[in-house]
Amino acid sequence: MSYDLFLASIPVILEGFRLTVIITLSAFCLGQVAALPLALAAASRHRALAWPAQFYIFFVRGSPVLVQLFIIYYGLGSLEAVRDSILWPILKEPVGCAILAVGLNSAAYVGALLRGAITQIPPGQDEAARILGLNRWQGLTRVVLPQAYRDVLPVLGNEITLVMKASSLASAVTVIEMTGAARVMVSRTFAPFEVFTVAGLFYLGLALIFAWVFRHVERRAAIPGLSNRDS
Amino acid sequence: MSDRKKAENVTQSDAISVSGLEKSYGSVKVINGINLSVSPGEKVVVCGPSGSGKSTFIRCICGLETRSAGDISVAGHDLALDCRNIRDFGGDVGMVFQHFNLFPHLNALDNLMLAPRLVRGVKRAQSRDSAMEMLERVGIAERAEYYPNQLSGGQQQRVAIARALCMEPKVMLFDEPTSALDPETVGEVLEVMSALARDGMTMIVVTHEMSFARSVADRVILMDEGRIVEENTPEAFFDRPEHQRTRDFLKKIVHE
Repeated sequence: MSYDLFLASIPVILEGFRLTVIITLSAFCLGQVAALPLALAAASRHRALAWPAQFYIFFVRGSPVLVQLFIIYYGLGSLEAVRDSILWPILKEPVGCAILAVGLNSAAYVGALLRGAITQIPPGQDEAARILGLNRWQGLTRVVLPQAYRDVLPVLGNEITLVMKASSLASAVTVIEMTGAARVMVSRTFAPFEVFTVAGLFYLGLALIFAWVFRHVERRAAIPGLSNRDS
Repeated sequence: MSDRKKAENVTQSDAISVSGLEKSYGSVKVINGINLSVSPGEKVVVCGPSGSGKSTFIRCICGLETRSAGDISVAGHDLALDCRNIRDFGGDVGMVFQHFNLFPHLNALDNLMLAPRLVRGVKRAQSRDSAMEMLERVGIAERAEYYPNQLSGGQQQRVAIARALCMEPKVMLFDEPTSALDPETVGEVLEVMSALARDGMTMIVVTHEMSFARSVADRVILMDEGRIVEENTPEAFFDRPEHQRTRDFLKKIVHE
């Protein structure tokens, strides 16, 4: 074990840090954007909406992210229709593929979570909104979703950490984010313990920041008078 | 027809009119042919044993429950059989629920301001003023910034009444408004409802509060097995009911 190698690996891994943050935040945001329509479709009474959404959730959660990433990165590029599509600039880049794979994966998890939260809102809430004359959209955005999102907020803080960890899979498709950078460093120094420990500590630090941010958001969003689950 | 006659006809038309109302869950008939007309300003109390269909009845009137058959017209709106047009009521029909159904993520004031602003497009300041006025009317203005879960049941129900009133409803429906309350907060809610009745609001109230029925109602109705068993003035209903079923019911209520 070498103390010098610890120090030496810090700047190398820091170079990958930026990409890890980019992939994590982009994938998390993509997941959030895709999760809402997914959850609404899955919670719908119309089978034509609910069935495909539930199938998507089942399919994505039932297979490894790494496999999904390989399908997107290696698989989609072999289809001519994809190469001709406007999404090709994203899909030909390994970073774009990683964001897409991790984001769509996160969407499935958050979608299922959000669907549960939406269906848990007491029916009296929607009834009160309807009888007051709120339309469907107003009832959803002003009554149902503000409550559903508060319910899932503690789990969303956990989700962004899971997305961060999944972002390390990008190294499998040539992306030099933190894990990728660490692997390059290891192949040069043959010091996996030192290098990966440093990488792990960086991940841990990032996770702590996310946890802090979400705890702050949760506290801000907490409804006065309702007991807080985490306190 | 002269204009005066026309106007008279409009004012004399029923605030609520229900005819041939039926509702079944599968093969179980929970509402079995109800006819009821309520004139503007009239107060009707509906009581009956649990499972008699009284809650279902009032929920059918406000369109929260679909029906199998019958015509319903409330506050000038003809309610479609599938209740799809319930949102057209736009607050003309006020509903007070047993469990308040306040929006827990909004404080009392915002609970009141939400619908006028979204549905009627009332400006923020104006909607705030009328919401405060309404909270004063139900005696809870000092708790305007409190959230529902920081209020007692009675306070929550008063806020819920104020929320409905903010939409200036032509008709108010109450579905067991005091059943979920602690005994000591029942009185404050009934007081608000009595004041509302004195102001001339058209009301249908499903309740077991017989003293309220006696002092406020123009008509008291007993429902049993999805039918109206007795429909009478409060004096007659309580002192010389026509039906044995009513006497049995009143006896049980008194014993409780």
